[in-house]
Amino acid sequence: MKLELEKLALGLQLSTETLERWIRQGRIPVKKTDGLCDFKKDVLDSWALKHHIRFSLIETPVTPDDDISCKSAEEPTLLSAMIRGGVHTGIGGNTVVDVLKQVVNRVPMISEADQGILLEKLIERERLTSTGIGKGVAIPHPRNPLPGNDRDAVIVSCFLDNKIDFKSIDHKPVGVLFLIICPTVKTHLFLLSRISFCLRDDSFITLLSSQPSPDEFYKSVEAIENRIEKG
Amino acid sequence: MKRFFSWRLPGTWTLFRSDDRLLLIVSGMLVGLASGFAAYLLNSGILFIFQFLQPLRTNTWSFFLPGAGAALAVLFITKVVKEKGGHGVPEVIYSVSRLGGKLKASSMFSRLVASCLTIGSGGSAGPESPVVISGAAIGSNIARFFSMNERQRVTLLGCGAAGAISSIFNAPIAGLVFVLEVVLGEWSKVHIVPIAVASVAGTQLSRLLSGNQIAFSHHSFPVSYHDTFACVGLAFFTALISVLMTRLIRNMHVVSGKTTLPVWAKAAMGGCAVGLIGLAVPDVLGEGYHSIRDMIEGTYRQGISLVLIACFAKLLATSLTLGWGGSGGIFAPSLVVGSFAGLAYHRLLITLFPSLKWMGEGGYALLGMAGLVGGILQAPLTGIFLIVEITGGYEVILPLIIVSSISSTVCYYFEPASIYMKELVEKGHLLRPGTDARVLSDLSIQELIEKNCTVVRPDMTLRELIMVVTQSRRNYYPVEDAENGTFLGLVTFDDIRPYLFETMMYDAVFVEQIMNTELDIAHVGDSVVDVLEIMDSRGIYSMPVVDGGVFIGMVSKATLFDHYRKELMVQTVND
Repeated sequence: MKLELEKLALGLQLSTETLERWIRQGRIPVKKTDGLCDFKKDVLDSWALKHHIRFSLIETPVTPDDDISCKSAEEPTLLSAMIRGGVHTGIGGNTVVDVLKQVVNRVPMISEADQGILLEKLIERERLTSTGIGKGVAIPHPRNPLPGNDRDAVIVSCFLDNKIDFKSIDHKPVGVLFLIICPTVKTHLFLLSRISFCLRDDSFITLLSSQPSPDEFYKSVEAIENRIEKG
Repeated sequence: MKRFFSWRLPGTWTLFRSDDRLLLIVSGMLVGLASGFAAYLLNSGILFIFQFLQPLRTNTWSFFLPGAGAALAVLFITKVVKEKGGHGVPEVIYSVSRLGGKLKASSMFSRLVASCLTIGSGGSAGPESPVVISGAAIGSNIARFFSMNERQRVTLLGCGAAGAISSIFNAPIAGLVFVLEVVLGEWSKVHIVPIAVASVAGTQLSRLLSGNQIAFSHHSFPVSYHDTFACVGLAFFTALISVLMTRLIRNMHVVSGKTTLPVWAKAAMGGCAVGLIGLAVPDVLGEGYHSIRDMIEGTYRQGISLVLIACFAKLLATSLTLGWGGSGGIFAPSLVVGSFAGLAYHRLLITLFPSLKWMGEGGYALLGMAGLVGGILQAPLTGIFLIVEITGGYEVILPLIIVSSISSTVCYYFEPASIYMKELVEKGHLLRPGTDARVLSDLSIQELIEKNCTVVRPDMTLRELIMVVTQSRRNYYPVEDAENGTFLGLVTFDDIRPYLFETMMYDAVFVEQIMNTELDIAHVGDSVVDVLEIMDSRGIYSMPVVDGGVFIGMVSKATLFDHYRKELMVQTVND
């Protein structure tokens, strides 16, 4: 059969230059006629087997090496997770534990027993290091995905009545919480990086401090996310 | 200063210290003499037993003799010296490939005794393989006695094998070529000179002890043009028989392997079957040199059909003897079968073209032998030189080259590995010098491990990890349990890349969240070939090495290339 040099090189997992040299040096049972590689499939198959070289002519889809775009295809968007969690206001309390207790109550579609477990995990995580990541924002989350949780990722956005001391890195009191509950660590990291990106935007921080309506808030998140996906 | 001097350490003598070539030549000569003597002993032993039993062969019950001989031989090998059975030459090749030329001291005589019993009692096998393993073991153990290194030991092992073959055939060049072509598979100067010296020493000794006409007498044959053409046909004929013989012996081996009998009983059964064949066709018994002699002399009287019957009877007898566990080699039987084939072909030519004057039937017998050696042993050069030396002249060289090369080429098409190599190749034990397999099998994971990796803990934050990364020069960070040091996973630089500039995440993410836990892991004892296979199939360039749950280091293709290249340079450059 006849095949372009590039395709055969791809099938043999060689560079075209190497394949060309091998043909010239007679190391491979392939002839070059009119710029095309001329070979017998079965002869080349047995040659490849004998020389421990992989050879298959099945077209393999080219995987994009851009990791982020790959992820956005399979991961939920920040916006969808935030819509699932909802925007909540009117949360009182003056200590971290008080606030977390109320936040857990706002998590949609979760049994009371699970609320208890979640609260325990959140407090345990805060004890390790604070999730106050600065600029008046904290992102409480359990250290590991909750066992038996295979639902879509949820982010519960909460605006606090009183700013509280969250032991943040920048020592600023925290007025906004994003409670993150994810089925996998990978999704968690993905959503976290998106939140982190949003928080780099000063206008977003200003918006947060104004306690926006859910629609306003979602619109802003959507705008930033679109910006990320366009690169 | 007192010089360190020991007669057991000739490598430290001033004479040999600068260059070991002289040492190898001198010890090669010694080995050649010893193995030549072993060959002489075996030949005389077989002859003695064969002639001692000759009067008994007139009785019908004599078919038990080969059975008894084979069973005794197997009992001796397995119970007395406690070795594994086998043809001999494959064990020597295995030792060169895998053991650095190490052979047991008992191998110096065990096969001699066993094959003496097998062949002397009438089993159809050759004395060459046993004498090759004995000679090789002599060389190997002399090298060990003098505390030589592996390279020198392999050379001396080759010297022993060459001395033995040279002595038994009175053919020094054939011995040299056989060792280089079959046993070592490497034509390098460091080997050739000592082995040539050993061949000459072995030959000289056998000439001294039994005169200059050992196996076969010299003859000259006038070759005409039509003989040369006719040889092409003979080449295909011998190739066909070679393939047949190879497969017959292999299949016999498979059949006997499935039989659940003690090994000595199997050998006895095979031997008795040979004895029965021997009652009808006595020529099949023993190593068969006497019938070769008759054929070369042209005194073998039977017609074409009887010759063909003898040819196939010998094939069957050999596969029965060797396939069922008898002790002996394939070399002499293939010479006998070859000469029968050559003779049959000659008879056919005379019947078809009675008006032409053909080369004598002895000449065709010799060509047939070369065809079989070229085909079965995949050793065309050995076949050519052996026949040239036996005939003592160059008249037959042209047809000889034609038969030998065509036969081995055709045979290679059907059976790519010779009968010696087949099992070794299947088990991946045939490692010729300078090949990829050789280099990879010499390297071990232990040598390739890079140990200067920075270990991180699972509860480190991303900020701490990035601090570690900035101070390190590597791209892989193994994660270990802080308490018991168990290997938990691996963080690669690629895992961190997306978060490098997300400073808000630095304190919200832990190493245990980033690390990869579903990894392919190499172990210290793994072979480099297997590890490379995994890397290739997964498209990865590095793998962590873990031993007993604890991280040892990383292996990477980059380091492997470095080592591979050095290894190849050391292994292939001959001085």
